[in-house]
Amino acid sequence: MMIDEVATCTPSGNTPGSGTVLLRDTPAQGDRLEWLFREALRRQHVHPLMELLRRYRSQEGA
Amino acid sequence: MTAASAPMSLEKLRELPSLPQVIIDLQSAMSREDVSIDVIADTVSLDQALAAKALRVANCSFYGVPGRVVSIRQAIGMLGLRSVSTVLTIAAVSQSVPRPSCPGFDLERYWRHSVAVALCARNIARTLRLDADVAFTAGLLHDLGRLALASQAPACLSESLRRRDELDCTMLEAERATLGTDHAVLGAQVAARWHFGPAIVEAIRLHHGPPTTPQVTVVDIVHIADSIAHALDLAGDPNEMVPPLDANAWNRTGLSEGQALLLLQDTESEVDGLCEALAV
Repeated sequence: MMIDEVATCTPSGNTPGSGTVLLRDTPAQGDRLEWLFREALRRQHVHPLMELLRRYRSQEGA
Repeated sequence: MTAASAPMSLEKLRELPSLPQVIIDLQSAMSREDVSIDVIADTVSLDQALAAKALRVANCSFYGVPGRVVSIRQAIGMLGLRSVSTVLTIAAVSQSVPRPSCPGFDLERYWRHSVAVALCARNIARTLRLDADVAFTAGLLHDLGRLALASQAPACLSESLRRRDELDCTMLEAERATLGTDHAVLGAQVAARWHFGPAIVEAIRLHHGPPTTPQVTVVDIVHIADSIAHALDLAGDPNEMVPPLDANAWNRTGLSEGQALLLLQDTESEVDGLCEALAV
């Protein structure tokens, strides 16, 4: 499972570029997984583990 | 507290007591082929507090030992010298570092995260057929600098935590801005003074910035395990944040997605049992 060093993305449901405020100020209302990766989302980088964690959590819930 | 005033406070880290001699002997013995289990067992048995802890852990369900383990020699025979060494190392570190009283620092969360990283590092090393015991110990001690700060220079750590919360930045950034250094550098200094091997000292020092190497290293493994443990949200920190992951370090492991998913599952399922066994 090779990963790219840098890619870009935005947190789901947020306007591109507004992630910092939304993720910083409303962690309880947001997606905890996105909150954990807020540093990468803020920089608009894909954290390689984020999608892996999503798949893991959805597999757990299945 | 400023970066300029921090060095005097950080001098206190030098006052941390040494690890018990038995742990230093164990670290040294682990790297030799001719190690005598009898000699190790006799040495460990002389330190009653450590021996009692090792036996308590050996009898916990995590290790799945049938029957009752009543002696250090028996514990080594059933769990292996390396597992007993791990147990003793944890006991010794928790005994040697005076219990911190530092606003914002939660010792239980600290150990839960350390145990999670240790387990994940061990699982990665096993998957890659590398030395799982070195990976485990390096993972367990990767944030030793933070524990040392909390114990010996609580104002330094507290100010870093305050800065992290205020700016919502990574702890590493907050430490560098506040102290002019960071827990990785400080932890490596403590580990070196405690006579841990160079692979473990390097893994502690470089776990936030693994260097480019041709092959996967213990540094890579601990770096990845740290990210995974944060991502699994196992420590119970409301301000948890996953640190950046070095893509080259990840790619050097050659882990498949299936292997990575299994790592997450195994790490998550093992943490509670080991924390309970170690009473941390």
